[in-house]
Amino acid sequence: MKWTHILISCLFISKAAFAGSQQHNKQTFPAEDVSAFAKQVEHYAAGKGARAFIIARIGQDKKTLPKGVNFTHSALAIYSEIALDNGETAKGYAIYNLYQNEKNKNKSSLVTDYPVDFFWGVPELTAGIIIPNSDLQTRLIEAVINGDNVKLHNENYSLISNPYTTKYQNCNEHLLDVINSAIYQTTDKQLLKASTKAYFKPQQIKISRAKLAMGDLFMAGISTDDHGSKVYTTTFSSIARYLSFYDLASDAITISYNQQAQKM
Amino acid sequence: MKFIKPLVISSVLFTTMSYQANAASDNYSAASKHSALATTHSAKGTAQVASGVVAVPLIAAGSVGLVSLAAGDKVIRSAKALGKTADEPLEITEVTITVDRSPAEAMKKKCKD
Repeated sequence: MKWTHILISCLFISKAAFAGSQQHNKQTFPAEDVSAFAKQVEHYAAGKGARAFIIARIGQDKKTLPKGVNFTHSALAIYSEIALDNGETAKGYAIYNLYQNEKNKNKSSLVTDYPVDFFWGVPELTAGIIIPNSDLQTRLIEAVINGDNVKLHNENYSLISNPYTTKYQNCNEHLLDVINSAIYQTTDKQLLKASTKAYFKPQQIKISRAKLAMGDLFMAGISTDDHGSKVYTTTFSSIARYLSFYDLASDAITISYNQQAQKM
Repeated sequence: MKFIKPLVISSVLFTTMSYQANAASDNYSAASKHSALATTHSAKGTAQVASGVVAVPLIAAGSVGLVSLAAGDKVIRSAKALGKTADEPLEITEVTITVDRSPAEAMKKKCKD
């Protein structure tokens, strides 16, 4: 009986975890709240004069995240003049993302969206914000204008991609590649990876090899063959530490709906 | 009962991979939302909702990088100069902008022959 109880519990939990992946796009907060929070984030960044900043969201219950992982998705936000479909123009932030493809989870696409899109369907209205210093902001904007973010895109997706190799890429690694491309003024992937190895400290994901092997075998979008005995990947927090350490960030905070920003 | 133990082990392993399962889904692109936003804003009488067609980055005047851009590089054509120096507060529209388009707006686009 004991084994049967455990089995049933595990199957329920497993089912919930997988069901979550299929229902993710469903609205979790009232549209009014998501919209207001998106504006709160925009106003925070705009108040600091940020023409480019790094934005992150929490895409699932924090309790289920591995130690050291505080956000699940990050991207680059750039202050823009946005042409609207009603013929008007407006000023705000456009967000340059790498998203995992919905149908083929081993592949990704680059998608530009806006703050309300970015936070739609999140389980928690909390954002991470890193505002690079002014010079890096300008270089990041140049990188996007030049299409360097497109040149650096590797469509082969792994959720836990190793930032020291070019085999796979996730959203955070793509962002890191664009940041380093802006810093070093090159899109040469080998040079960028050499610099990453020398100066960037990724986040270790403490999951046993057996569990990872199971994920590798049975779940699309997770590969382990780019890792050694330990798994290291890029996270929003590791990017924040990297930019702060080299004095390239003027601000790094988390902000929740209707609350004051908290320094990271 | 022999099959139960391996099943439990497999289930436990899958369960512990929930971070990957959910986090992976987090990278999905957002789904339709224009009508939900429009309904909310309409009911509240607050700012409108609009779909963004194209976003042109704005570059601050006086920044280091602008020197190279102004030197005739083709990229200057893809950006607009921002009439403010770095770190000055920026204006944000109260319009909620989304990539999503309402059916009415989508129908305005002419069909290809």
